[in-house]
Amino acid sequence: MNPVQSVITDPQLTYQQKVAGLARLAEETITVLPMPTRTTELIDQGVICDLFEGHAPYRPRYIAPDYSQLLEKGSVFLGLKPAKDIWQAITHLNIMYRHVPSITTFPVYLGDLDTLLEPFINDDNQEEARKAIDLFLLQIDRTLNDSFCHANIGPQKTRAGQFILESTRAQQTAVPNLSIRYDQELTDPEFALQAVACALETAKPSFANDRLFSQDFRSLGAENYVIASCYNGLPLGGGSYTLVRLNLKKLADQTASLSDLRAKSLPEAVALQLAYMDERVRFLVEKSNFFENSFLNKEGFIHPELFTAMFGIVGLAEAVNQLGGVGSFGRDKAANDLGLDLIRQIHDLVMAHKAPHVGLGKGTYLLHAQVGIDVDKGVSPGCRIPIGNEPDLATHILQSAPFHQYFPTGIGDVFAFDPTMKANPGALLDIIKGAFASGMRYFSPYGTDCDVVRITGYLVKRSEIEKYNDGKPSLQDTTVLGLNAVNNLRVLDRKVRAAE
Amino acid sequence: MLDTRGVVSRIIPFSSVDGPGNRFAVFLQGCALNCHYCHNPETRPIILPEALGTQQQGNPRIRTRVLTAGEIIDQMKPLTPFLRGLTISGGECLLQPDFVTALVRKTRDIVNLGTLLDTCGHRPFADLPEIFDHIEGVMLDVKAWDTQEHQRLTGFSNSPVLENLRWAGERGLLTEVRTVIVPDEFNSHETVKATARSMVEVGAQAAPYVLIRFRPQGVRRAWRDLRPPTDGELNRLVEIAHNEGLEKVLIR
Repeated sequence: MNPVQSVITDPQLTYQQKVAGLARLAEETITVLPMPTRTTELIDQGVICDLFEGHAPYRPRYIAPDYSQLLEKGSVFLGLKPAKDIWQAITHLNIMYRHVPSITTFPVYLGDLDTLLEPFINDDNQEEARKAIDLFLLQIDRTLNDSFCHANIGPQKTRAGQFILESTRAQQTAVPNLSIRYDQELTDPEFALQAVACALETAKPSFANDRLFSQDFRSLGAENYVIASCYNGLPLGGGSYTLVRLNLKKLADQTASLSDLRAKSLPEAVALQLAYMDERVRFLVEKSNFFENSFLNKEGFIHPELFTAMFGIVGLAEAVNQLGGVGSFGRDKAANDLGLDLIRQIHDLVMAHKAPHVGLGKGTYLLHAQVGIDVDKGVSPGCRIPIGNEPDLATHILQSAPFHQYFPTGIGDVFAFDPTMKANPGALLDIIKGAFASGMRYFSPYGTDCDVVRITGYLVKRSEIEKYNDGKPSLQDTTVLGLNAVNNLRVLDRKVRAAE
Repeated sequence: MLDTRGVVSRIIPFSSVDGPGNRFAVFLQGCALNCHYCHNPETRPIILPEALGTQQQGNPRIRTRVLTAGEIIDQMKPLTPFLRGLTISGGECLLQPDFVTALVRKTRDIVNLGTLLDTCGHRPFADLPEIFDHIEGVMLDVKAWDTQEHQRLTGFSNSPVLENLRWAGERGLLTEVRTVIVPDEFNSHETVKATARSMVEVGAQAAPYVLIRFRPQGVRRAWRDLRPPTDGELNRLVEIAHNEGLEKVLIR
């Protein structure tokens, strides 16, 4: 069947999902990016992958608008005045979300919801604020049907933050994805425990190492960072033009030996991916008119100089296991060390490349540990240990932590906990503190009896997967991704962490 | 002190069920009591370090081994950023007081973590200042209030237990008090009421009192069919403890 017709007649797509699918097909009909033959070969082999960004980039992949400006000053383009109360604030935000483009068509960053809403809460309107926040989160889940939509809270305790956690726990929804910036010096322990308890019930929030992210982004010249999409660290008021990933497992498939990888195929693939990213960025900035055109830029919600682009990698474990000959990644020290060496090599190559239109830091792209796509089979996310081979929790954390320093735009691990942990959330908070003290950047816990489950970075409801399996459409476009990942990446088979 | 040897039945590097927070839990081999509902009876036999080789061969369930305090602290060291503290449990940990003393002191001196003891209270705490002057607290079982019931349930009188409850309570060392509820084995109303009252009397009303539901898992055949309490029975006991003035009564 003609691909357009097959989208139009697909019985399991909602109307919105069909519209997005048709737009993607339209984009595929033109070729605007110069593409060397060798790059095309690597793309065909799956070594380089643009993660469905399309042939002609016409919006940055990830945008992190400064929503505080919207609430404080309003927007000329949207015809909104400054927000005066909590109802206006959530209405403004809901209006703005409709106009923040992204790869998914939905906004991947929804704001630091607690600090945005806290100024509208006082001693006299707490019940009203609680209700407003509850309805706001409900509306987000039912209208932004994609669990890459990511909200942030913390590090400080606020009433808004507490209400958000209360509603999150009660509603059990896949959207929004939620992160708490956590710093044991800044975050009130009671608020942190509320967040832990919430995560054990509904797989969110995840914990972002606030000290590490803050340091990294300040040293890049960005005042504030946000967590967007899966777990992507981005400058507030900026974003990422593009994300292209290098599949190290597929690269290993094409390479005869470790020495060949390090001397030839890896430097070649990195260089080609960098050049491909350059073309995407140039087209977006120079040809697509996005920045000239968008009210987000004209009104200062975003600033081009705060944009970067993400150089993704995936499948480190498999590459090490296939070509290393030094044992099993995650279990053997020599294999872990080799993994670190490969990441350092990639890091150095990427940092040596001057990227076009990147003002952040030294004008280079930043590394991102990509979590995989639903059709990946036998390719572990980023630098993660393959599911089924995980060591005990302490060993696991200490193994993965040294990788995290190289990935300011996102790396993290997901841990499944036995429901008995709910009786002692303080134990999990101790583990998170230890993980952050050990250098870990991002930690996602969930209870194994949750309906909402973290797939790789995003969330899906098991009940929605079952619905889709029965041939019914699902409200969230991420459900089908989750279903495939369950089958291909065995994400429901993660090692369960318990006291014994 | 680091080379003091102990007989250890098990180590759990991250435990969320042996006291507050995430704890390194060391279970020592051997217990004198013979509680009917004991859910890990394999840790009961008292084994001398010298006899270990043959015991292990004879019984595959016994994973017990001899370790020095130093060896245990070496295992703990890389995990300290993740740990709230050390818990020494059993078996009955106070059957190996020299080893416990060494572990408690060296854990504090070397990895800067405090220790909680999980004990049946069969040995008078007041006789062990070398331990009790250096720990953060104790998790104590009150298995039955009535001496004869306690005798029948465990084989021993509970007078040291009740004295320890007061002694530790007065010194602010009661981290937790527990009673396993087995409705037909002893008068749980009386035990819960008297235990709660005693805690309040010594000023330990803020210490958590945990009522543990009897579960047949791991229990020896003769007692496996004991009846677990119903939710209603447990809730009634919680109410009794609250009425005595305890602030935190939990069901586990």
